[in-house]
Amino acid sequence: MSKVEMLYREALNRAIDEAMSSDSNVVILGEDVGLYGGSYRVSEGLVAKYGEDRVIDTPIAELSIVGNAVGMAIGGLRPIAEIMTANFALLAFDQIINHMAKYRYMSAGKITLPVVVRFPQGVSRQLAAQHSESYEQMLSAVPGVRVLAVSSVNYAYHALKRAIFSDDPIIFIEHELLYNKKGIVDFDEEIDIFKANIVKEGSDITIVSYLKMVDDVIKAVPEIEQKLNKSCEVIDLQTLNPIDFETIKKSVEKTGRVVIVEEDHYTGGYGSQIASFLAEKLFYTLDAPILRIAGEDTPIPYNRKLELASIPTPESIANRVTQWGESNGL
Amino acid sequence: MAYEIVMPQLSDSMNEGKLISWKVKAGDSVKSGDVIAEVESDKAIMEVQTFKDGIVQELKISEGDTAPVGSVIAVIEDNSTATVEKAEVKKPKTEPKPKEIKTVKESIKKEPEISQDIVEKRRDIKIEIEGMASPRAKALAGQYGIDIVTLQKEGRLPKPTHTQDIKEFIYKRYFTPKALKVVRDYELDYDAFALNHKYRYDEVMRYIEDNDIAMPKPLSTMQKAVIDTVTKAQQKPVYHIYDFIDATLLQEYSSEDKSITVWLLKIFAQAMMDIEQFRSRLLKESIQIYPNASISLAMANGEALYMPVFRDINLKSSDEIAKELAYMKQKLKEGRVSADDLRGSTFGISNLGMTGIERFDAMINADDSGIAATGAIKNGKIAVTLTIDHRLINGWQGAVFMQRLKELAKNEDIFKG
Repeated sequence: MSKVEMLYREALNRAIDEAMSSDSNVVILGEDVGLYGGSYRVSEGLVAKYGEDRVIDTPIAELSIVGNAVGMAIGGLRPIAEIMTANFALLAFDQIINHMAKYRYMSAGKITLPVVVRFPQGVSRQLAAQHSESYEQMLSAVPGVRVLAVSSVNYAYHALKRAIFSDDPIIFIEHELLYNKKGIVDFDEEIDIFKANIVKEGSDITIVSYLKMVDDVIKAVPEIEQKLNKSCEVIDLQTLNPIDFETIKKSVEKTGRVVIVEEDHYTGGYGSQIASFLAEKLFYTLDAPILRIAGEDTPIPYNRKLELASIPTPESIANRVTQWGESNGL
Repeated sequence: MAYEIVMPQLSDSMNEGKLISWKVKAGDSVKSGDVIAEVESDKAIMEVQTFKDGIVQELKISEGDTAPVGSVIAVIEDNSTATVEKAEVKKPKTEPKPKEIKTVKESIKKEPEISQDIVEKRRDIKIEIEGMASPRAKALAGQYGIDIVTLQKEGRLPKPTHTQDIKEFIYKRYFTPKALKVVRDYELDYDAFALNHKYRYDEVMRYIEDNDIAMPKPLSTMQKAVIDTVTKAQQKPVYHIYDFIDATLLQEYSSEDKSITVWLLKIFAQAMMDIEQFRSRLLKESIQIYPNASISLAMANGEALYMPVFRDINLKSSDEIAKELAYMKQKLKEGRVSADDLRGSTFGISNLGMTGIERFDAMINADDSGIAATGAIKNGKIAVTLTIDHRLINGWQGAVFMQRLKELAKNEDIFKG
């Protein structure tokens, strides 16, 4: 029982299910979370088990979904608000930033906000510019909310369960292409959800990434290692706010070389925060310029070829890192 | 037209090959069929030929380097009119290419609008200044009082300088070339030395002896292949059968030209023809049964252990087998055993009789169904230990096989052919 193979979406479902059965204050609300089972089947089967009072189908009104969740949390519930995709979450930013993130501070700690706002983001397959974007850079810049970027199945289960029982609001970012990813959940594992995960150890290059890009990096690593004859350490950030600088620091002190891979647009992308930390705090340990591999500064195209050209792929990651390594003394 | 020579795949399991030596150099003209290099696979050293006439334009890797199968190792200009003078000859690169110099000014001149092109260039701004080095390299240089600016002016450090360059410099500064070779061989870190003078060979050797440091010796491709094979053999579900075969006829018919091994091959081949499981090979979803008896035979040459395959032994006379055996021994001595020589067997023999060993057991070779270990003649008998893969051959079939060997050893007809 302790280790079970399951899909990413099944791990999320399991976490919500266990939280709902252990605490009657846990509720989930969002578009199609009830009868339809969630757009990505994350809440499948929950309405039959816990009823419509706790698994609530809402109108297509994102601001009200999060607004209701905030009200429920103030009243003592532990709501999970599901938003269909990151682009739609923009409508709820007023509730997220002005209300959810601020009440604990403005009430001098008298009000707690145990809310989880979940949504998938990123480039899927031809969903075009208005359904493919990433907003982790904006949300992790908001004091008062914690931001998690969930890439591994094991982390999906543990992090969601912990997030539901956290008294502070948490933005829980998923990726559209990860819902059917297979992985092993270790139920007995005690993990700190605010720590990065070293997916692969290595000694010469540190590659920092998160969400789906972690999988693409892992695919690119064999080619990089073969061409440069060096070994790569791959770090999955998992938590974007707070950032686990300690894990990055340990790795960079060893390797002296850092590559940051993100699907998000290059300008103002989340990776620039990591790059700034490296330049500020770890300048004297760097043995090469930092390499940032990110999406193009363009709306995500609908055309499949252009869509793939606008974001990092395993091939482009391997090429860029190899070129960078060769021109910087590797 | 440039014709590329790639690292050949010399065996099924070969992923990379080591270039032992080049037989040509850049600028040489070659003819189709000429040997241009020697390559070591996981099993043997083989020659690489060119299949076109032309002039060697470039050798891509150096002797001792390892390259993946399919990667280009040499380029030949196959224009029949090309001459040595005309052909542009490239040597394997030894020096780093000069870096392109791009300044901000250059990349944004003329274009008033911020085009995607400029954004792209801004991401890769390259500047070269005196003393250009990575922060980490600078910190290390400062620690050891190394003046990067002067050394770069003198061309003794590359631009930009990285940590590895400074480390190399420290090694060269504090160790004589002979001492440095030892430092490299033993993979010593310079931190272990006080670095207050230039270390000589005997000082480094004394350090090694005083601290009892072992020399790391990388495994040869051959050793790796042997380790791989025996490790796989260890995982096979095997059982053993122990018995003796009569040695009277074996001794009687063996001579200078026809060793006991020749007759053993013949006896085993006949037994294999009688029991088909010994001619079989296990695949993922099926078993392959071969029509003829091909046997791998353990042969050693110094450090190297080979299991060359003697094919279709059941169809061959003892004269032919003896000839093949002698030829293989010669190949072994000259290091010419090819990957092809190591393929196609279903059963193996390891004979240590000549060393006087009475009884032992052997590890199954590669995909064979089993192996026989044969010892020295004692009291007119030879001890035979069968090590058999139970997935292919059950205990009953194994026992029948042993019984058959015993009969055949006494059957004079075998020794007539």
